[in-house]
Amino acid sequence: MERIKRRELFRRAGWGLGALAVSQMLSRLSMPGRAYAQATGTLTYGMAGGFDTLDVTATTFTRVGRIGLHLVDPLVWQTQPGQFAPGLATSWTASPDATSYTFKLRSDVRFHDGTPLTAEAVKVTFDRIVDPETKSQTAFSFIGPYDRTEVVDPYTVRVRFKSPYAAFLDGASTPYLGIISPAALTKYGKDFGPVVFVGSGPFILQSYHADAEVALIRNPNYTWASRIFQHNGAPYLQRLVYRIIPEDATRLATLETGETLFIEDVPTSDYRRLRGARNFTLLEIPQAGSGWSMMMNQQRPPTSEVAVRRAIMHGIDGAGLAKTVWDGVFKPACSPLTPNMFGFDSNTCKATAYNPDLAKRLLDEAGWRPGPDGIRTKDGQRLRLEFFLQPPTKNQEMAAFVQASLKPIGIEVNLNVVARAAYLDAVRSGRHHLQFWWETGTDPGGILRILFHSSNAGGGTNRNNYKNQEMDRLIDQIDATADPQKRTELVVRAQQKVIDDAVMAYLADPPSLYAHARTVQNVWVDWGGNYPYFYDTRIGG
Amino acid sequence: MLQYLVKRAILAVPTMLAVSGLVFLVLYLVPGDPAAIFIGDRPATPERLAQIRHVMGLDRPLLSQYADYLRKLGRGDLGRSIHTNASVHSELLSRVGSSAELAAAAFAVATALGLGLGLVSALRRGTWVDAGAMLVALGGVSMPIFWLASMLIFVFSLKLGWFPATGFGGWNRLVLPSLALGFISSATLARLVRSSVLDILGQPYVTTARSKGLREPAVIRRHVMRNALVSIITVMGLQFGTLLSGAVITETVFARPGIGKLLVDAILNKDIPLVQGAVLFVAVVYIVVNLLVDISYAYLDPRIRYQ
Repeated sequence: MERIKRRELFRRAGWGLGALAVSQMLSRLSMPGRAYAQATGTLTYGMAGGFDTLDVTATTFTRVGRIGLHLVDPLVWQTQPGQFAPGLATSWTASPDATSYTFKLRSDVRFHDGTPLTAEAVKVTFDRIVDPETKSQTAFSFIGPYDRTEVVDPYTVRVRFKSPYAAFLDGASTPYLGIISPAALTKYGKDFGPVVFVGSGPFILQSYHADAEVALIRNPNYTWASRIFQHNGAPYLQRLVYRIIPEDATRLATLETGETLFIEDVPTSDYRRLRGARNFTLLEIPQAGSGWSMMMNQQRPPTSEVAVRRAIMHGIDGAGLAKTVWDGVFKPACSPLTPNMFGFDSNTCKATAYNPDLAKRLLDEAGWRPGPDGIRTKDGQRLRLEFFLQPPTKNQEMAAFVQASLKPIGIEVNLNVVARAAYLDAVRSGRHHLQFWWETGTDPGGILRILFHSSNAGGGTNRNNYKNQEMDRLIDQIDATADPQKRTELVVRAQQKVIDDAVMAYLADPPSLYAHARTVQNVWVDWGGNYPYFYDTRIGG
Repeated sequence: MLQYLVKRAILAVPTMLAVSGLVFLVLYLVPGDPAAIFIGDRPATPERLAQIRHVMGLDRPLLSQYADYLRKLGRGDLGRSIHTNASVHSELLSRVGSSAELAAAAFAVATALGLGLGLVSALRRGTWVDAGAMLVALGGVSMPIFWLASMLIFVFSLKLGWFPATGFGGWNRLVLPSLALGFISSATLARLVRSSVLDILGQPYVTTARSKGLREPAVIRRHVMRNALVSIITVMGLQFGTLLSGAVITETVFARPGIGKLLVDAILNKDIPLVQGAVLFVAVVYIVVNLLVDISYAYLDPRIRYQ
């Protein structure tokens, strides 16, 4: 037998032990792969970013609405555009002039702190939204020309408005006007929102770690589900955990590793792969509101000229943009409203069609002649536009596409990519010619007001700085008209008017893209595509 | 020693005052009204904007705002974020654990890798070991961290399933982010260690030590490393501060809350109280780290004594 020296023996033994240790470690390391997969009953949701507060009545973020819809109950639910079903309210009536709404409330509802829901809670919630101290954002715009709330009896409440507001039921169906516990407001003071949140929804806030995670736990006492859902009683899920995962690729990776079971904002570049995947389901819901579009500042030449604006409107290849920038997942846009909106006018697609020859002709007729480098000039002025945008990559890709589309028709576009503060400073003070817009919402009147009403010009949201009395009148009428037929006619007229005046250029309509593991069943999403709701959801298989 | 510590603590006060004053001033000089940024793309009448500005306390004269801030700071109150309404104190507290955990782990990785690679390449100067080690360091310096981070997730999370891709809490969630962050910052350290060690190796006292018959490991440990560390530790101290407060990309890719991300978001939102609080926190970290570095000098070099 070959004799092995002592040192050599130790050396070999060391290698052996080392190899054993490594193999042990590797097998242990691979175990967490299963260990962190979820127990049945907990749905982990990958959310695309952080937010400001948990208080739905104060936030600016749609994400807070997504979480908050599980923590509060809305007065009514919107099942189809303009169709409402009972929520906390069992029935409601509106005054003929749409300035007051009376709601009959359920009498069996309790907040998570055990206090009962009464008419007083509705009053406290709504009064607080208009109190400047709350710094309410989304809810403040949904509550419109709010005047006051009257407690008629403990379970009847009347909400009054300063001017007709036919869109109130739409607002009341969003999570942002969900009713919160007055007792909890008094108890927690300024910590209500940043730290705690108490509503009456099917889930209760368990913990909140800013920028990381919000954990909700089922409300065992929940017996007041709306009849639009498949069951009544406590939710099937034990826990619902929202994890904030801002990076697109990482969020998708967590779905594939099983760290999350449901993710939002699926990158369009991964759309096809996920569509064909066996283990995942892709939810694609056309988003309601106004898609990606471009505002054109009318206070600054040359976009003050309607011919220039019309040339831009016809000069951008929407189909090419949807295909190049959004991988063909988004659809080319026609109008300030997405096609699923109440009152969308399909004729707008013809009226705003891509037609570079028409664009050139319009500019020729308006006296803009091509210069030596192809860029047009008139009276010594070059047709050069300042485009202000914020840094996200997709913004820059869209802007580069617009720039490349407009160059062949003789318009030079200069891109100014600036951070949020400088961007808002530039566009609010009207130093821009062009800027992007995107808006989600389910009420056409609200959308049109944000984009085109003169009260929002001069530093507000109407950065077209479009001021037109006829348009203002149309929008005010839409807000004051409850009759669906008349409302549709008005919405169609408003769309035709803004296209005649070439106020904006419409680029692409996005779908809301969610993906989930196939084991997740029965996810309800509102028709506007913004709020996946897990009350009826089960995790099976 | 105690006297020295007290003196340093007192000296930190004017530093922090200067930092807070400077931040306050810079935030007012850069364009953008915090209330308008808060409103963003939501509709608001000019009256509403004025109300929000009032609620945020922005309608008062600049000096009175700063004086008010200092008065509160004196009571240990950092104020409330104008964006989230949460107290700045709790905003910082909810991130500091995750940041400290990541910084400590990444620091350990960076130190082990940086010292190891630097030392090996200096001692084997001119060989393939040196070339290899410096190639790794070059990779670390030039590799974008978001790419490395994404690759680590792809390989170790998605393909092998060894570690979770995201989150914090638990050692297995710490491995990938600390490897990514630690590897990148080890590169600078490795190059510095190499040049410092080479410098010391050429000193006459190393030759003396060797000619005394001291064994090579003892020469390296007692004479080379101890002297080289004086300059290395200064850089390490600064790096720790950066790891704690500047790991924004790592925090974003691995979905971890952190001071770096908090600070960047606060600056973008022009959330003045939160920026102030976060910057003060970072300043304190740097002051403490510098103090520790200074104290360690005395330990490494007996000629330095603090009276």
